[in-house]
Amino acid sequence: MRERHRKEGYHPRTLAVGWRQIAAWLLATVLVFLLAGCDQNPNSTTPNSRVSNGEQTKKETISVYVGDEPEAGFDPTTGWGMSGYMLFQSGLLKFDKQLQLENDLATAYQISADGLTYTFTVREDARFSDGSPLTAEDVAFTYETAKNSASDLDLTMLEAAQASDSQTVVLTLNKPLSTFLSTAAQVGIVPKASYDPLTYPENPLGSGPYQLVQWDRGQQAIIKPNEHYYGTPSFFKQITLVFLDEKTALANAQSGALDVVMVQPEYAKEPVANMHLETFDTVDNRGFSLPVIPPDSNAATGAQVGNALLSDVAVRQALKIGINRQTIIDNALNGIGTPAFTSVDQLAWYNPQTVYADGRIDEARHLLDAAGWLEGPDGIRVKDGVSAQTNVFAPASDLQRYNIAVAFAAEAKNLGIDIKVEAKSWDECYAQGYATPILWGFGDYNPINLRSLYYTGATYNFASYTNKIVDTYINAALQSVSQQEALENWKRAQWDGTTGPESEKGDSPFIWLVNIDHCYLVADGLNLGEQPVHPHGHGWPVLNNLNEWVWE
Amino acid sequence: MTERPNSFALDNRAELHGADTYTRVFAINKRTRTLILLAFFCFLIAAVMIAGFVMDPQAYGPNYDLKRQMPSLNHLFGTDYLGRDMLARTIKGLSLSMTIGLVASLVSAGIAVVLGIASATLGGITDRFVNWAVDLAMGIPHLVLMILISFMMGRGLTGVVVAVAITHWPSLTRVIRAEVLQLRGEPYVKVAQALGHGSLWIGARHILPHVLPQFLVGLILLFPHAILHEAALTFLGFGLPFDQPAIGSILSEAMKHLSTGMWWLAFFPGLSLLIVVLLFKALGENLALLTNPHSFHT
Repeated sequence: MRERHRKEGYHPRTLAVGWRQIAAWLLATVLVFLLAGCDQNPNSTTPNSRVSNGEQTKKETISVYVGDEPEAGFDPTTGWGMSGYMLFQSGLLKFDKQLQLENDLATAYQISADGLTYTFTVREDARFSDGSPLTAEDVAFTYETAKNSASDLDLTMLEAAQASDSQTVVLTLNKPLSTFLSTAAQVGIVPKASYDPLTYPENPLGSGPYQLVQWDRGQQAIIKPNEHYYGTPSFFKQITLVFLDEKTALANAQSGALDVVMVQPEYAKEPVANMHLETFDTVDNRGFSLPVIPPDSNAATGAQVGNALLSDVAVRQALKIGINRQTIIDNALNGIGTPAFTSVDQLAWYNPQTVYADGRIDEARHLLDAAGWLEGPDGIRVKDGVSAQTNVFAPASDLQRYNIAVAFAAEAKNLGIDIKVEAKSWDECYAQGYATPILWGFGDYNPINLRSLYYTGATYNFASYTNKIVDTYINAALQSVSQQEALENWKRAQWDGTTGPESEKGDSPFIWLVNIDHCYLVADGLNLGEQPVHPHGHGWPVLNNLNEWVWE
Repeated sequence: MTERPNSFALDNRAELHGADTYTRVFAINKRTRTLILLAFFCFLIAAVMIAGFVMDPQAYGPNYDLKRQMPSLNHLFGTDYLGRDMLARTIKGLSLSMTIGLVASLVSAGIAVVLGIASATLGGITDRFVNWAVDLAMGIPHLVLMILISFMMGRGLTGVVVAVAITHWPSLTRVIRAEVLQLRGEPYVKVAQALGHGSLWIGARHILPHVLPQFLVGLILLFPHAILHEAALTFLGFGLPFDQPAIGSILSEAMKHLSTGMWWLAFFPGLSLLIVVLLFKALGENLALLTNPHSFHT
């Protein structure tokens, strides 16, 4: 076209401008006007974009950004759904909005008196998204497979899983473990007939509210409702999960291409047209382990353990009451967070008696004076020649944690305690963590977390904490047959009124600082329903109740 | 070529004879001008390095009362989202980066001299091996190689220094090899050989003095490379951790805040890095002028 145009228009022997040229100019002019017209009408941009008024807001497809895709795919037998959001599958039980357990695939269950046998009755109307019925056989198969997968999902307590008839499954444990009911809410059921460990993670088939239509790794996942789902049906006919980096996602939100966007605290106060910020309470906590034993070296590994400063309980308690958690939140997290006092705030097994007022600098200083930590000339306290100084570790992969640790150090300085923050890889943290505090993040829907922090010699007991009474409560909680009894014992394990790891008078092997509120930019008019307290891990948990989202 | 090339005792007779009093007093010849510039660059670089080392960590730490300040007289480069003074952070960061650059380029230049001279004098299998190693190292994308090495060494300071140090020698090796090969054919070397001097004597008296200028210029020109690559590694997250405000980590943190309008977080540190790199380049080029016997008499 251009070639011909040039020949006709600029050839020296052509006398007049051809009619084709006139037509071309006319066409171009019309096009320019059309484009200009489009610009003035924001409602007619790309089909994906969010619109702010009129009937179109009720569109039945939405696009959301909730962070990265799960690398390992969507296989519940290797840990997908452990944090309570499954989308494609459903479990025997589930957590309600108050994080109490309620029936999901199960219609009823009995626990034997010795706490070893759990008998679940599976609902009859449950179907996989391909229409095939979900039976007790599938449940037994799932638990057996998950047990043998040796993943993050801990099913070592399971002895056997057996279907006694098509609707009844009997799960036998090798020891009484009351948290098994929480586990029953963390395992999504997969179909025995078609399950293949190689293909399942990318082509999940389950009985949850949604089914996966398409997954382009690194780009997007498209999901649609499972028409056979027995629960609340989804309002939306298609949901696209996009996988971008945070900055691109924010830019996309600003251009109106996304309906829900996870945002980090530092961007949470950026105004975005036609979107508003929603923050959700979480148990996504951050806190330091505080080694409670004096310095020594581990006989077996030779690694340094214990901490000269923090082995004094007065120092640990002074830090707990002396720092101002809200100041840390304002300084490091742009104000997006809630002060934390235990690792399980607001969960069903949380003991509210552990809460105390903080920011009591004078009281904390008295406590330190009384314990013999006297202020030196440079403002740093000294006791028997030991300076009130310690390093703390922040995992090197997480800038946010480093910032929290630095803000914590600034608070400790007010008390005359000198804290130096080092960013270390997780390998180094684990290797030296029995001597140096680490900034941890926990928060899941299973009280077993309390055991892993406070039980003698447990996995995350980096404080080397030992308290026989606490161990007794934890054992009692695990062996309880009734949920009520278990919850009571979990609460006592935190603080029973006289002893325990938490509360201002407690042994204080950990200092909890903040539960980081999870922020999302949400399109105006989109109602995300009632959200439970979110677990650790910003992003996906908001999809927990995707089938309850509606346009208002 | 009989004169020692790095002797500074050259005068400029033409100018002394032909010029009037004014120019004789105030005119500075090119060599002096270069020397002054050289001294000034060295002073600037040394000042930044020393300032970074003696700086109180408090100076580049957070001051939560002064968050997100635009550049002003109190904070020339502004402050970031934690109230950290960006000027102090930039100086500390440049100082860190330059130290890493210094160590890395010294090691790289050392490797280059040893390999270059060995390759040219020993010849045969050694020469072929060195050439093969140079081709190999040049054939792999530089940044990828550095990321691999840094990752293998466990990131952090060690990872960065090792990665930058052992990847910057190939081109200088080639230059030195070529130089030595050429020198070996020079008449005065042949004469020295004919006079019965040993190869060590020739090496010390004839070869090394002639290679030295190439080595020095090469060393200094490696510097900006090393700094930029350190910054790149850290920027990409394979380098120094957050508690070390290297220029790369400052820039990568700043990138996150560009979209919130805090342009000064990236602009000033980036500009400073550019200036330091240009300073080193000018330093190397001026040094080349000074040490090359031909450059002032053409």
